Amino acid sequence: MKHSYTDREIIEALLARREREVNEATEALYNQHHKMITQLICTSGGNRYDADDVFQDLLVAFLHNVWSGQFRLKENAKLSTYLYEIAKNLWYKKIRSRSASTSRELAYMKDYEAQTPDAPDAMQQLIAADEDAWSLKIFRRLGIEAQQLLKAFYFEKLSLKDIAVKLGYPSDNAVKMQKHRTLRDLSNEIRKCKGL
Amino acid sequence: MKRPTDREEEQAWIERYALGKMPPEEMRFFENELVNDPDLTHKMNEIKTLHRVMQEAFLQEQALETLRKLQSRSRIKRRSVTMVRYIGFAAAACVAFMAYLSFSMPRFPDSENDFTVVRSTNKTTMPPAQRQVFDQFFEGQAHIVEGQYVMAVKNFETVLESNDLRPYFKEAAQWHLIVAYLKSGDLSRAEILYKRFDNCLECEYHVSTLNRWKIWWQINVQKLTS
Repeated sequence: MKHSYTDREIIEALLARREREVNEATEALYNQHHKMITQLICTSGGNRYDADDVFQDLLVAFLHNVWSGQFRLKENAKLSTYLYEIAKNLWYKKIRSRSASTSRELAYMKDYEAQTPDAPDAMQQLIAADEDAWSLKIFRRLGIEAQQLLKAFYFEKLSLKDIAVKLGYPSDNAVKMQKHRTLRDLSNEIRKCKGL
Repeated sequence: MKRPTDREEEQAWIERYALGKMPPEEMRFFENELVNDPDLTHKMNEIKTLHRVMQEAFLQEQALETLRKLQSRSRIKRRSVTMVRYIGFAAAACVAFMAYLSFSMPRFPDSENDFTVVRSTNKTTMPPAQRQVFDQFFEGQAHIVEGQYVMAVKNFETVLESNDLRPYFKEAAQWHLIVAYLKSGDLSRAEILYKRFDNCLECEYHVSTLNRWKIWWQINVQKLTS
């Protein structure tokens, strides 16, 4: 892997939608931006574990935004600024959803609301609605077995026979039927999400 | 060429087209059907969306997996750095403590507060033998401070020759003699005398544990190096 990626290279790697490129871009995103995000969270009442959680959500949100065309790299715009803003929103959302917040978290919420008057609720609604459209979230609404089946067939490219052996189906016909049902379920889940 | 009637078969058929896995002749047939059947177009778009969502979900999952590995590696690295720092600090503290034990002079409680016992309240009535013991003791202390340890040994040995020493004063003289022996290089005598105070429960002259350690450490270090 290269030592350093430009913002454009990261976006291009993600848009290639290939496993290797996406993994490399993920590594670059982490190496180049995790300190900034950790610092943001740690100075806003969170700890390193919170920072790790926020970075995971940030990654999925960012991939979704790149692939859905909601994010486009503009001239003179820095990727770090964009990531910082999403992380801020995600952290705000996370501490708002907690039943008990620490005084530092409450201070961060106050600051955040003061910086963006009237916006927090609208922003949170936007993120919440968007989050429902994240492909991974839709996919995870399926049961574990259904996820494994689709993954084995479409991602690992295993044959129906191999899947039957791997996942314990009585025959490849049973796999075929289950795959059909699972795709139908997934299709229903997608339909529930607006904009897809 | 016939279009599949079974739902499963139809789904597989559309998928083959969407994934570009159809032979040219079948593809032409499929495209012809697409023109005539808007429902088929809808189904195909649905399958394309399904595939897009699945591909994105798989890639997002892979990316998350990669991220978690990086985060775990980073946590391990952070822990190792912290541990190395702690170990380094502990090692430095050990070295500093050993240096302190090796080079600092043992300190004993002041003996001046028993003036009235050793020395008569009236100097003129103090017996000469008692005065000599008293003088030898403080002279010995002065010799230790000045680094004249052989002289100090003589002073404290003279003190201990006296038969009617108070236990407290006798123990004080013995402790000082240990240091004088140690510093003058007479390790075996220092050690023998030191061992008398090992686990001494009835001792009256209390030397702190730290100062006992200093003496014990210095005896052993000198034994090792000599």
